[in-house]
Amino acid sequence: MNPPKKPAGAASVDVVGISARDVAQVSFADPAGARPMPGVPVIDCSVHPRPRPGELKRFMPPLWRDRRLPMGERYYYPNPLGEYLRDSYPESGPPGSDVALLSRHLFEESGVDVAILMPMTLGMLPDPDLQAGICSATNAWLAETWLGEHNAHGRFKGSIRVAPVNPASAVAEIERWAGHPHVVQVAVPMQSMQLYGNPHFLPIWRAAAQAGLPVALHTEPETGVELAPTALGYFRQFLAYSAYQPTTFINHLTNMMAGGVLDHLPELRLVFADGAWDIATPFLWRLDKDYRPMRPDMPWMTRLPSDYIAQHVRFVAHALEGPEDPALLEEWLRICDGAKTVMFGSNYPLWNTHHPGEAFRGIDPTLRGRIMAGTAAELYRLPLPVAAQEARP
Amino acid sequence: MNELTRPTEGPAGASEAEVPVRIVDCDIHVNPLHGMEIPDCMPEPWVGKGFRELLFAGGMLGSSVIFAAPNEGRRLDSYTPIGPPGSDPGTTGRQLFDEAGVDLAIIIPMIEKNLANPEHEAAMAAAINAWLAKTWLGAYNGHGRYKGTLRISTDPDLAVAEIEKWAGHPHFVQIMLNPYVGGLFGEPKYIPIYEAAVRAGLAVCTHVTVQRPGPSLLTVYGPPTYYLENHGQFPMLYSAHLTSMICGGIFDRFPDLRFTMIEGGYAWALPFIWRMDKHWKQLKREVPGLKRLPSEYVRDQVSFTRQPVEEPRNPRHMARVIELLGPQTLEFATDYPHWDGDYDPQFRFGGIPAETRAMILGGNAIHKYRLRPTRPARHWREFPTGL
Repeated sequence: MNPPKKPAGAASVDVVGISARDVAQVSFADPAGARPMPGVPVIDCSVHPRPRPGELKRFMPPLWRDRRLPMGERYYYPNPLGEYLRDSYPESGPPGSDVALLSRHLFEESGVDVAILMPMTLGMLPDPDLQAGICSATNAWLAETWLGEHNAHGRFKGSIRVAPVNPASAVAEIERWAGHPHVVQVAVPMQSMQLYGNPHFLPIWRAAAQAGLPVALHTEPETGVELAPTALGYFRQFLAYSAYQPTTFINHLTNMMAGGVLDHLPELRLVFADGAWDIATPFLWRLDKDYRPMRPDMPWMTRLPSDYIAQHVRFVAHALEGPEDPALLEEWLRICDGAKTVMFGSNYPLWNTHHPGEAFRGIDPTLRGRIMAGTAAELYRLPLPVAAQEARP
Repeated sequence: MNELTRPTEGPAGASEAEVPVRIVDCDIHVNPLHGMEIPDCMPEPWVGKGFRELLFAGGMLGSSVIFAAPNEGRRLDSYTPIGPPGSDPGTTGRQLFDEAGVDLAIIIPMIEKNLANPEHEAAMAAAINAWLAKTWLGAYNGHGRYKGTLRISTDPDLAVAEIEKWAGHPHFVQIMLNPYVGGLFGEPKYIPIYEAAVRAGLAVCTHVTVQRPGPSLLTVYGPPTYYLENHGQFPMLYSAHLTSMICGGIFDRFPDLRFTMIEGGYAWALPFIWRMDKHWKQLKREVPGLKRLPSEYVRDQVSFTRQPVEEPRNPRHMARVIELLGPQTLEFATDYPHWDGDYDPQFRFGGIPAETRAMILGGNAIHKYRLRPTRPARHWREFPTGL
């Protein structure tokens, strides 16, 4: 029997000869009629670059340099469509590891002007020191590569990855990178063993607020400790996991509001990067009602839950949420104060990448402009990108 | 569909003047007047002294919460001289039928602790059901204005036996699944329970219970700190169950199943169906048993109760949600005698049509529970209670 032939360009081939790339069904170019919108500035708030295999090691703190790192994708719920876009696999290395390919997809073909980079950090690990070491290495790697040698154009902006389980190291990482000209936010996993309103985390949020950096929460798609997706246990299907997971943001948000974090840190900005802006509003309607009678439990919480949103919270819209009909989408965005709180993010190169040409098509252009760039430009204090569009060859 | 028609109530042979049923209250709670009423109904082999003391001594009521609700969780004026809130048919009748204008009330008994042992759970359920049949659905119910909910175990065999025991009872109209113990409702273990309920012509509901243990505290990221989070996030619990039921093909398998999510909010279901439909369109090959859009199952087979009603700044937003989900998806409920009841039947949500309001107030429940659309015109006090 002949050994299986390695498919050209496959990132990795496992023992049965099937590459992840062969499984991937979704292509970046799939959305019908998805076209870059000339003249419409686009800030992509959720782009996931990734080190090439072995690349991170050089940046690991010496203590961890020889430690084998966990590897692989999410363990439960294999996605029948593949985890990444079919055409996001470079000649070598995993999706998101090739600057040229990512730049071609986002900058050249899709009209993205600025990409906010949020590398993932191998999931939630049981070892808080290793977790901190990986974050530290990821930050050093990103600064040297994507935000450094590949960033002459300045269109890449970056996130400081921190390990919330290790607050001292998280604060040190924020202080280390806060002054970097291309760093615009702090990023943490959505997954956590404790809700983020716990006082244990407060020094991290304080350091971010003092540095003027928003804190983004995004579900880690990589391996590590995997919590059951619901308080009642495991779903059976990826579909169920994928639809439900983004809504768990409300656990953290409510805990942070009720715990006084937002009152304590008026400068803190939270970015929920898995979306769920559309379901946040009904949650808040209910919380508003409950707040009044329950206020004696938490006198430090001085405002109605919904009153914190415009000041403190932004959502990176997800491709698979909200109504199909553009008129209804626009109506619901207005009900949800979407002009202030919703930002575009592609989630490239994940399977559910939202093509910027497809996102929020058909709604009022002014509202779309807020979502595609305006709100993000204000949040991240970026100049509204127009020149980049015109400068494109 | 099982075309079971519920028998006409009222004293045998008496010809009663009738009035139309306009308001059906889909969520009220009652309690025993005396501590031993339910223990006295415990089935064999749980009647022995030790078990009764273990399960009942120290009080099942009000002793099991981490997060203390305002007013001990009750309406202050529902306390009566002769028993706890919801125990005296005189007080309840006055507050519900006279003051709130309710025509029919669906009782959901919430008296027991959550139990880790499904056999204990089955014994408690049997005792509660027998007690309810004897009292609120029996001696107190000459007018037939109370309808009941069967409590069941999370063990499927024991649950099915309990459902079959009561099938055909004139006043039990649904069964309740405990949302905290037993797992996600789309799990195959629930299939015999849905089957038995549909066969018996009973609707199925879920209602949050008094919970203590950790895993039931609603978040996967650890326990919330305050009651605000616990109470405000019931929708997360319910949306997990609904996701599981849709993906598990439950609605597809039982087109006659009618499922109601009680006290867990409503408006979230609109963005919920958007998100489910979009995911299904991408990933339907993972759920080959699912024939229709998730939103179609929700609109046709799932309803929600109004209390505690969400309160957007602009009340018209709720009117719009009702319009978009469909007026058949919402039902009136007061949650009597709990602290956060909603009693106003004059709600307009900033401008829903009169027909929609009539459906929410009573029409939807009459249809779902196959209730008689009239009730005795005589005042409820004229019917004896045996007290």
